[in-house]
Amino acid sequence: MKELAFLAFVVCLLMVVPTQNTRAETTSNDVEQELQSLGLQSAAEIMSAIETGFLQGRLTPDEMVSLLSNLAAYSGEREDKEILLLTIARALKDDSLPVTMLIDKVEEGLARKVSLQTIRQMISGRANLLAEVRDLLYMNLIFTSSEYGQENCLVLPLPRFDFLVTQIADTLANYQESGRSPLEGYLIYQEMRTRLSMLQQNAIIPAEDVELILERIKPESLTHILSNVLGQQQQ
Amino acid sequence: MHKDDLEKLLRDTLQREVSEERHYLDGLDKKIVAELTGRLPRRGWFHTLTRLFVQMQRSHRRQLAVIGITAVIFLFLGIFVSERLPLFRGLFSAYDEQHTTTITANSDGGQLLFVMPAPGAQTVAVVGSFNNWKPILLTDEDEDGIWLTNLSLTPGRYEYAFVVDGRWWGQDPLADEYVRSFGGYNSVRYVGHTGDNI
Amino acid sequence: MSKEEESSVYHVQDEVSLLRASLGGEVEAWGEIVSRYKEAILGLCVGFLRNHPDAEDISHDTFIRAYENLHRYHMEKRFSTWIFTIASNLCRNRLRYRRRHPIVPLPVQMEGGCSPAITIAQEDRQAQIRQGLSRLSYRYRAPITLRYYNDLSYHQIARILSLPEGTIKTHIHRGKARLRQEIGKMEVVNHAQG
Repeated sequence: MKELAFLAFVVCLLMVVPTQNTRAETTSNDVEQELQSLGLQSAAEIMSAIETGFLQGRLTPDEMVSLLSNLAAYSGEREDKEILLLTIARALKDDSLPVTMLIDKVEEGLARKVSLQTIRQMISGRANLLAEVRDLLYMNLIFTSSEYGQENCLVLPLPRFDFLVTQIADTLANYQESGRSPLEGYLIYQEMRTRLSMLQQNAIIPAEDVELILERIKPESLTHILSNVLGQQQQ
Repeated sequence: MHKDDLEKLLRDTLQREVSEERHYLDGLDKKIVAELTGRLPRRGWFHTLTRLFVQMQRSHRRQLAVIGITAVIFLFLGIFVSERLPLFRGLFSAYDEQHTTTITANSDGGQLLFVMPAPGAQTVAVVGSFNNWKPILLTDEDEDGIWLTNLSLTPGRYEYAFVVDGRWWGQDPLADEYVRSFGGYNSVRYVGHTGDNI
Repeated sequence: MSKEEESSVYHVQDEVSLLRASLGGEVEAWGEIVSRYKEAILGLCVGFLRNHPDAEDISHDTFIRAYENLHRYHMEKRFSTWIFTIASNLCRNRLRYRRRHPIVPLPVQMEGGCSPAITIAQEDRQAQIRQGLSRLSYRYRAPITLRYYNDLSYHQIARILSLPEGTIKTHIHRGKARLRQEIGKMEVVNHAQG
């Protein structure tokens, strides 16, 4: 009986092991190789930021390999590609921001065959928005460290906090990019509420996160943020 | 400079900088107290209500009464506001419409059907945030001009567009919403956890 | 009870009692908390911001905001970390604002250094540290201030700045190295000028 069980175990092992081996996982080394192939001056700074992103769970090697290989294949000046990557790297490392939205926009821009300068303009505006929204949450005492206030959702784990920052910043960016006035605080708030409600109805985010944001963030703060970002872009 | 010297110097320097602010520090506690005392009446009804809730823990009956009365007040206020003010009426109806859209969205848990009518097209693809904007081809097996593909997606909010013979189409009639992007449009679909948005 | 008597009552109370009393609306109790923490908070703000008017502003705002949000504080947690977190986030915000609305920094000058205990050499050293700190980037300045002025552990600093403990250690280490470099440069310049 024991022999039979052992045999079954070995068979199972043989079935499982090959499937795991055939799935070649993308690693940090692959990302570094892709980055080297771009021949950028600030490759070391960018790589160090990317590694921070991996450690924080804010980036995956797969998405970075995809971004870097798409950038390498794209026609355009090397400097423009470098600035794009530096914008993302600095948002991630110096400002400690979630950057999925920025990467997604670069990928979309490349797929749409938009000029690198246009993509750069868009993501630097969005990076500013991410920072402003993150600070707005801080100002309203919604933090990411795990020591305080879990009962009233004052403190959120990093992925949940990042997701909220990203969703709010993306809503504001969409509002702004559609050419509407930053002074209509009530309309901006309504857009944010709609976005969060849709996410909640689809069980993508917990109801308490939505309540937390709607309770603490006021329309005038959103107006303030958009006006600030617009001011920075015009400088 | 020795390690400990620098640390001591740092401490001394910052302490000195703070001691230079003595004039400011001396009056700070009184200033804060005066400011907060002046503000207190503005807390008004909320503060009273909070206090009531704290006190009512002592009496179960009183607790029920307070909750009941508060609920009734808010119910009437809600009805009054939503019925009388056109601004709010618009707001609630817009919200309801969107709610309906989500419920009827053509998605089955993580499975999302993408459909694009394009008779005579050579290639139809869908690109989106679910796949780093790399094209996924749609097929038209019965050659009726309706191209489709079914994608299995994890829960999330996805922006996408169709690419028909190299041309972008960002407004899918099945989308939950549209957004402007790079001067064009993107469609948006929300994918809920299985069974949430059938 | 007179006001003086009232504040002397608060003076001897422990922190938790003071916080409970503050929560109950006793503003004088909060005044006692302010007087216990004002130097720590101002020092944090001066270290983070390197601009005294802004530091005064943010210290004031920290105490007001902390009072307004006191119901969100959990009594079993360390109060100092909570209020330092608020102050550090407000500082971050002000720094961001200052990037868009810069002001001309005042030259570093020492005030009130007439005590015989403070030698000229010490004065010079402290002036160099002040300049060096102002040139240091925020990411190094913030943990250095919390570590050497506020005497906090790496763990507490990590909580306050929402960064991993390892990163805090690295930033403090690198920050000090840069500070030494800056001071070295200043000494070379002074020597050349002198």
